[in-house]
Amino acid sequence: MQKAMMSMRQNICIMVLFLVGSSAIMGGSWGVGQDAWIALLIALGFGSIIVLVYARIIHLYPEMDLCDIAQAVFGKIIGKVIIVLMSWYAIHLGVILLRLLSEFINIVALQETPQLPMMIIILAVTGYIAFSGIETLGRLAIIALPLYLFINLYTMTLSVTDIKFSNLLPIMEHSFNALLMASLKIFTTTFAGTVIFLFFADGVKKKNNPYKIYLYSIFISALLLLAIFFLSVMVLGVPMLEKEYFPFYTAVRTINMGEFLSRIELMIFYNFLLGSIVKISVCLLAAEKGLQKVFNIKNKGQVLAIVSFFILIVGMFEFDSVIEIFNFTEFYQYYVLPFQIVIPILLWIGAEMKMGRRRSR
Amino acid sequence: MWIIFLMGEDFMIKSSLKENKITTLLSESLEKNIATLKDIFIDDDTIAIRFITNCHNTMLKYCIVHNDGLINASIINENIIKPLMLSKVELSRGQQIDILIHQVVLINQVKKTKEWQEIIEAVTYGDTILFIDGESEVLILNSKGFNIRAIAEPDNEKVINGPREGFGEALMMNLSMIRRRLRNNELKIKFRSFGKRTHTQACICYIDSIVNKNVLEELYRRLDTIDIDGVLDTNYITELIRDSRFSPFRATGYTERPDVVVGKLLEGRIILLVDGSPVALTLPYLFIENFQSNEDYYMNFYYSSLARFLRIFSFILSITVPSLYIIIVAFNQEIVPTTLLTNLVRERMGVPLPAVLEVFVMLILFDILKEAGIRVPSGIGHALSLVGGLVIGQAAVSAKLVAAPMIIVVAVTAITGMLVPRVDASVIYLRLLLLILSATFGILGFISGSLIIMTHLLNLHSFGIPQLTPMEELKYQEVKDTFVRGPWWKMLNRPEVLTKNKTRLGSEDRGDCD
Amino acid sequence: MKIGVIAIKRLVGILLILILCTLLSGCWNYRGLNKLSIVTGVAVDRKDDNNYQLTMETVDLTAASKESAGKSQIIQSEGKTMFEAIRNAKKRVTKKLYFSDMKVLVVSNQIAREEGIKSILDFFMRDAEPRETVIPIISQEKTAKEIFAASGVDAKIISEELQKMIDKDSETTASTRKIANYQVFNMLQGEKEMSLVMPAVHLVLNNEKKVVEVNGIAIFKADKLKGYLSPEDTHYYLFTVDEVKGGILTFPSNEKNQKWYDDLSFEIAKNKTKRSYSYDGNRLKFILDIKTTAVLDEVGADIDVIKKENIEKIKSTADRVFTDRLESVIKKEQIEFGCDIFGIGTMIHKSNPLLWSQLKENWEYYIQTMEVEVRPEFLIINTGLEK
Repeated sequence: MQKAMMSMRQNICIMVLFLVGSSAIMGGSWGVGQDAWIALLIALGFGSIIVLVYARIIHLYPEMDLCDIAQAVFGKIIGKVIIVLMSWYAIHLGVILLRLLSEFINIVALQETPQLPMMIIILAVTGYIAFSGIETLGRLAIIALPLYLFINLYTMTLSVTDIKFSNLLPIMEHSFNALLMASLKIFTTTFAGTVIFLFFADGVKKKNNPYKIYLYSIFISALLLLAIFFLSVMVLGVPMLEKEYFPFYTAVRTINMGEFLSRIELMIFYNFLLGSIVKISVCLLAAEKGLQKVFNIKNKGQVLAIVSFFILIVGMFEFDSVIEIFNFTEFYQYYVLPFQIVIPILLWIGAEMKMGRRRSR
Repeated sequence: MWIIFLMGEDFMIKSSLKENKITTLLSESLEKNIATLKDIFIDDDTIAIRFITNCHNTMLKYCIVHNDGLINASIINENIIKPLMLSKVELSRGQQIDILIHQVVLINQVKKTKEWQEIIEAVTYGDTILFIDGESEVLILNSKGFNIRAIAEPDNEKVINGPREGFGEALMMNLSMIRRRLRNNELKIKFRSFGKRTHTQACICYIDSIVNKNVLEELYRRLDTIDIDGVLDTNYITELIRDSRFSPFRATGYTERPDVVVGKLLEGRIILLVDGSPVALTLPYLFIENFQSNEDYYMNFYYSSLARFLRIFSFILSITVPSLYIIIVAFNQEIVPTTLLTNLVRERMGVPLPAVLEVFVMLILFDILKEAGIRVPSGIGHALSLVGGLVIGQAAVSAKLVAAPMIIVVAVTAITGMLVPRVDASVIYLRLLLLILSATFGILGFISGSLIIMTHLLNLHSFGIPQLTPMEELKYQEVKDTFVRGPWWKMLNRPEVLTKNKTRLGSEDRGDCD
Repeated sequence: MKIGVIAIKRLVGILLILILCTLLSGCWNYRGLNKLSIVTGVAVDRKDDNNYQLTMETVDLTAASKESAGKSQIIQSEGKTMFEAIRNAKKRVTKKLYFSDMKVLVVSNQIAREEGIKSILDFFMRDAEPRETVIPIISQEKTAKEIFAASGVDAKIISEELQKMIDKDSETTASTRKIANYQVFNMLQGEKEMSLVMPAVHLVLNNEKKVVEVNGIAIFKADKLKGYLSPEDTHYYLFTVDEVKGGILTFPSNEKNQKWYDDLSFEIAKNKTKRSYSYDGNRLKFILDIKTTAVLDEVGADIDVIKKENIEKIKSTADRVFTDRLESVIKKEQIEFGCDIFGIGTMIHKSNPLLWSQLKENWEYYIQTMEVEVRPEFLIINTGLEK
């Protein structure tokens, strides 16, 4: 079977969908109210720097994925440790996303349904997508992303009548420190999440420029996030923004045009579902790739099944409620830094040194 | 009207299956050969055996074996028996076979053989076998004269404009229709036979300079693995060589029209024709071909674009409408505005069954009606299925067994399902899948189901080529023939996935218009 | 183990999971349509010291009402909190109450005056079913449930009527202000920046029957009701918050003695109010630049409107009278209520946060001592079919 290769367009589409996926309903509750766009821009700045590191790693070792690179740079044992750590990161991310998704559905749509069957069906879908491989996921992303964008654009155009620019004022009301803290949150939850794509670096063709892929993706997703945030703030106003769990969703609920075009929030619901499923599939696939390499299991399906069950069980028991999830996010931004920053920088330094040695030989 | 067909046949039967049954060889003695023949065809009373001797040299004995009913008697009489009996050519026993071929037998295609297997296959296809006393080879003489169905328009692929020829059951007739449309030497036709017992003949056609050689090799490789009893129709072969065996979607195309076949050949596709079946197999197959019809090219391109779009849209509708109805009625009532909601609720008052069961029952009922409409003789068929369905529906609504919107849902589903015949098998299953999922999980089920279907579609391959390619690359030249039908003067290139030999049209030739 | 056995085991496993799923799952969430009772409006009263009384108006869907546009049914229930009251309704009703189509929330003025409305509104924001676009309304009658007992002029469902009336109001009479639930919440949260206003309704006699009528706005301080503004005063008030999209202004054509006798009608086509403020260290000054485009649609006196000097005279009279009336409304509000319903606090906060943090301690004082400067400008675009 040929190795799955992805075109640049597929890469970018998956990444963008991954980055904005769960923000489809969020869009703004980062604790700094109307200044969150400044925090976003700061996070974008930091994000660009770190993705340059990721892209550099891919550039130095073309057509090899994280597992191979880690083993090439640090040797088998430490390499395997790194792979296990990163796979754990992917799994944990999958758990949080899954739980958030099923909680959201529980609150909004299916109130009576227990979360276990919901999670099972979501895992069934994501498992099937992950089983089909990264190439299929890429092609799914190419079709899904325009749809996602279209829905967003459509709802935004419809809310245009309700927006009040004054909700954005006063600018810089919050202290710079608060903005930095918020930008750290944004950075770790969105932009630095692209570290997981190092797992799929072997799908990037040699001739494609990894810098371009990463930079395009984070700029496009930053644009989207800004748009979602602006809309949420301008429609809802700051107090509502802070109070709601899912601000953008609530903002879309207020759209009421012509008496009959008024239940649009289901489209946002669909967007969120789509984005989350893609995100969870990516996590599943990454974990599966990592664990397969570490434990040398040939059968892809087995690894996937194990990972899925693990996510299911942890997802059911890690959090008791939505409140815990949102509180966990405070802790998550620090807990995830070693995976997103420390390990990649170590890899980068190691790779540079190895390359340097090779060249001087 | 019966047409008696005289044709020549290319005797290059490549039998790729080993046949171990007949181990006796031909002997030089006529009696022994005929005895073996009678033994082989024991209990088959249609084999006719006729002994002849030359009237000038009674030492020359021959035996003619043919299968009654498959032959044209006058050929045998005039062209075989008469020359053999009356020949004045100097022949000597034991060395006559070549002279017979070149100077005596008045037949257009003659072949020598030593194999009993070939003899069996030839006799059962309408050829005459000439056993010669003193020779250990026999002559296979073409004398086919069986009746074939007249050329008629295929029922499933009717068009309003355009040619109306359709394939018949005889391989050579089908090939002739193709040949007349492709008059160059690049069209390659290779014969093969399948089926251990049927030895059905099939042929593979392609245009040498355009076809994708990888696909061709892959096809040959898969055909070699076929090991089946008998092949009666192209579908047997399809199911044995296709990708994604369990998928309800097609991985190879089918058609009964020669103009469609030639169109696909010109795009670089490969055609498989099987003797005895009017259906031709086309491969590789792209998903969008489900929605294309050859009539699109014979009509105005605006209309064809609209028609194509309608087909795709009705495919989607047919799958999703019942599930959407269930979701609106039973789960997420917020979608509909209040006035519509009150109307819907009013309609559903007093209806005993829950919405899900209603949908199931109505869908099953409609499928039963459709099947009945197909099997019932044509006079009553149309009236029964459509009108009967509506009348029953109306009665059910009045009796408050079913809610009125239900009838609309079922009608829309059924009619849109009939618009695209190529996918109607898969539509039933997909519809059911989505229905079950949305009935259990509401909108979550619906979205999960559609994602599963989408992923499945993306996974489909046909001989190594992903089936959904044109939709993703979005290059202009690829898309111009998918959702819309671009006008001919825009179709510069062939689809890139099928062939590297891209250029189809010299230049964007707009004739003399503005 | 052989491959076949493993495959069968897997298949059985998967099937079991799926079957379990269907048994455990969202069929629980299955709400057949015929088991729903669509609630369009809720009225909240206080029954006794412990309980609220909720009066819910639902769409009446008995088979008999197939012809009519829809009658309404009333369901009442009691409970200590909103949610409990709603649940207690199930003791009387078989169908499930469905709130996604709820349009209005009528609160009795007693509750609004004594307790405040924050606790009432919370349920309707938090629960996912009622929408954020519900319009909260204050009933000027003794109780809120009387509103639903009235008969509407057009439709039979009062909540729908109310919602439509308030919705279209800013374009027609501009006598009340539409505030959706989420905006209410914003206003309550803001630190005294903007005081809450809500539409107020009362019952009037229309041809022997009692019907609902929209009657100006209710003014709140924090979340407690303080008083009302009449529809006319509300019309002027809306100029200060730039929410006038239509409406009629009446002016006198000339001043006769002390009595001003209005005989001109201006129909407002467009209006733009520019609000600004100035602070001189001691007092605030609220500056309004009002540009109104109007159609002179009724001339009661005998004036030849096409003559330029007549138009100028009309305009100048209108300017003067308008300024006077607007200033008097604002002054009345300052003295009577002392709340910042004009949103000046928000304006200052957004443009000059430092100033705001300075002023917000004594905000009430500043509002009450605020000066107002009105600069109106009328543009008459046509005078109908006659000169």
